[in-house]
Amino acid sequence: MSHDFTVPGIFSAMEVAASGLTAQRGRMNIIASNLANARTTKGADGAPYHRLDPVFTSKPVSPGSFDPILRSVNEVELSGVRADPTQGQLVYDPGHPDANAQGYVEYPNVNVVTEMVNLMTASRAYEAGVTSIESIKAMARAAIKIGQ
Amino acid sequence: MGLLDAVHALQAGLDYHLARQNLLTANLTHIDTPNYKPVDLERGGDFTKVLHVALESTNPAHFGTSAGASPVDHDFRVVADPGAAVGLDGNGVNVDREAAKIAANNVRYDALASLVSGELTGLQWAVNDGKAG
Amino acid sequence: MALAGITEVPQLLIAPSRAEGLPTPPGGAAPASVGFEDIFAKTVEQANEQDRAAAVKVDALARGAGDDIHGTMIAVRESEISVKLVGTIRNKLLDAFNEIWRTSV
Repeated sequence: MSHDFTVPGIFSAMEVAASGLTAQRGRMNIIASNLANARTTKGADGAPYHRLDPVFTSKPVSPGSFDPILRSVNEVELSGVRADPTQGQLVYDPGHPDANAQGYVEYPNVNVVTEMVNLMTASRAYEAGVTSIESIKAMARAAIKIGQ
Repeated sequence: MGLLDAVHALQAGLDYHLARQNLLTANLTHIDTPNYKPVDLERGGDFTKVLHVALESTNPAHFGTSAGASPVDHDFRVVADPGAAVGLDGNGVNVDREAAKIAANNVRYDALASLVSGELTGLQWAVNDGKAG
Repeated sequence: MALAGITEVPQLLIAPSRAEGLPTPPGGAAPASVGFEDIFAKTVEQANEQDRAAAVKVDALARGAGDDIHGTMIAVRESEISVKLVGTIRNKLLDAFNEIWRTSV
């Protein structure tokens, strides 16, 4: 991947912060999907919706760099989603079109309160990333001021 | 080594970053456009030599230079951004990545602007025979 | 440290007789112009070197080959100081010369 830097500095820091923002935004999308499907008893595969968790992985920004510090700088990537296999709530409702042989309907394992808390956490993490970028920009401005 | 070589090198850099800012801003405005792929600006030339290549307008992707417009020659190419992951609507723009690129580009532009100003002030001082004015 | 060298000369301008490491002619008089010339030549050489080093960094930043913003800015300011010091010394030398020229018979 082509990028703007060869040593750890202003630009590598910005890229790392931006990766965090992207990851948190992806996480918020996943949470939105969970909330929207909180009562989906029959998904595309015929089974009830199971809540999704984001999978985050670390990857170095510049593994081939000559600089030892830069080799250890990692950005985050939302590499995939993982379905939570826990069984959801079973409700006795024989009249429901998705009821099983015993008359129970399995609802998704989505807890709205948990999802809202996760949403707030992701939102705070996003804000922290924005603060990081603003901080980096301020440092760059200070460095430029040296020359004036 | 001409007296204004450093100034021209900096001016070329400023031209590049300004042109790039245009492209990156366009990326950001097309964040919801289906099938839009983000673009970026690359500059060619050997990184060990200062760029003073006469531009032949044989390739339509090259920026043209109107005769006598500037003492600086350009060799910029608009390229498709290789890092873009495409979404369901075919749109490949990542808002955070573009915003970070814009911020970084802005920083480089400001740094070069500050340097060129300092360079010209220094030359002016020398021209005034080492006295203020 | 490049800046260390350029602080030698201001001391010389203020009190030449108190300058350390300078060859004092017999009789303990103020150092002859020979010592001053050496320091001046050294300062000019230093200013040239710093100017060249700063120019390399500025060029790298201009072409996007470098990331070092604060290093470049510091190098530019250092070279500015060195070059201006040379100018200041030269002006003082000229003033001193003119004064001597005027008072000689």
